[in-house]
Amino acid sequence: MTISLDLGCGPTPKNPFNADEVVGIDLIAYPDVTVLDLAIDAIPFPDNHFDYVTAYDVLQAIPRLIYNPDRRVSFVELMSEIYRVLKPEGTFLSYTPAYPKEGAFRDPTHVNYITPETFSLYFDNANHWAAMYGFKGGFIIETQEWSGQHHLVSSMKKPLGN
Amino acid sequence: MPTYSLDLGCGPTPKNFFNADIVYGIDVRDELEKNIYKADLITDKIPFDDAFFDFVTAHDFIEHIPRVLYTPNRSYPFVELMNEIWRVLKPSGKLYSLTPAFPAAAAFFDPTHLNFVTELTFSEGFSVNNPHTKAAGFKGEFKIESQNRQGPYLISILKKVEST
Repeated sequence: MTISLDLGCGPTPKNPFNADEVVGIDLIAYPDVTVLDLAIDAIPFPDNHFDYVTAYDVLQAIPRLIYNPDRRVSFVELMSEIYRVLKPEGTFLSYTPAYPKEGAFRDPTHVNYITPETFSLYFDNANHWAAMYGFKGGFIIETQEWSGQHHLVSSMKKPLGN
Repeated sequence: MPTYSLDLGCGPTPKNFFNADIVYGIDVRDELEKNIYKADLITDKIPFDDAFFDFVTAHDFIEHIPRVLYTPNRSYPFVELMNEIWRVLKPSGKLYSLTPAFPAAAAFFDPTHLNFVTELTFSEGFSVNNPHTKAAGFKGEFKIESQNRQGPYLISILKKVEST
């Protein structure tokens, strides 16, 4: 029995790993979708709950820093939340337009400019640079490749024993 | 009928790219000259009625408008500004925007720049049915009349069309 979480899912949560069950979260209230703002809110699930978390065209819309009114490094906090709800050996898949591609900057709602180094230097378990900003976790970066003209596809795993 | 133009972030002298008969300006400063109104267009509406202007101009302005802001509630100031420009323009009214754009370093090097537009930001974000800007509250619609680059600048002329 496997379960997958799709962040910013829109009307139909994606299930690329063919999990037995899929849960979706979005800022917009679609039927059977949990409504929340990933820039502010925790992911409303217990620790070690999901086999997979996916984020298709989502991370580019997560602000890096907000005051609402308290200071929150929203992108770093979201990465901690993804790590927390993943089971050990669970996989996080991110599909996001990235620097230096034009598509990273084009849309009037994009605010988070990922580069190919963002995950492997800041959110991995070797360099782990985002720890200084409060990131709780450390992914094993498994694969990262460009897809189409603008998108970076990054697959990372939560290590065993965490 | 005289024509009216509004220059956003005008400084002491509102610009008049379209040679309108009457020119107003908006600026965030306190000491304002005649025909200049004070507003912070990141949080405030444009202080004019619907369909008041034939033209709106924005010289070195768009790059200073954040895309997402929490004050503390979530808003999309760039999308809201485009809504406001659309609202105060007459039918078929025009927006002139001059802004440093991707990938020029000038788009990024200024420590107050927040909004990194590309050659497709206006055409895809504000002139077609873009699900991201619609979800962020964009109600208007613009058509690109012309767009060209001059050095680091992207110069765009957009025409208001009735939203579909």
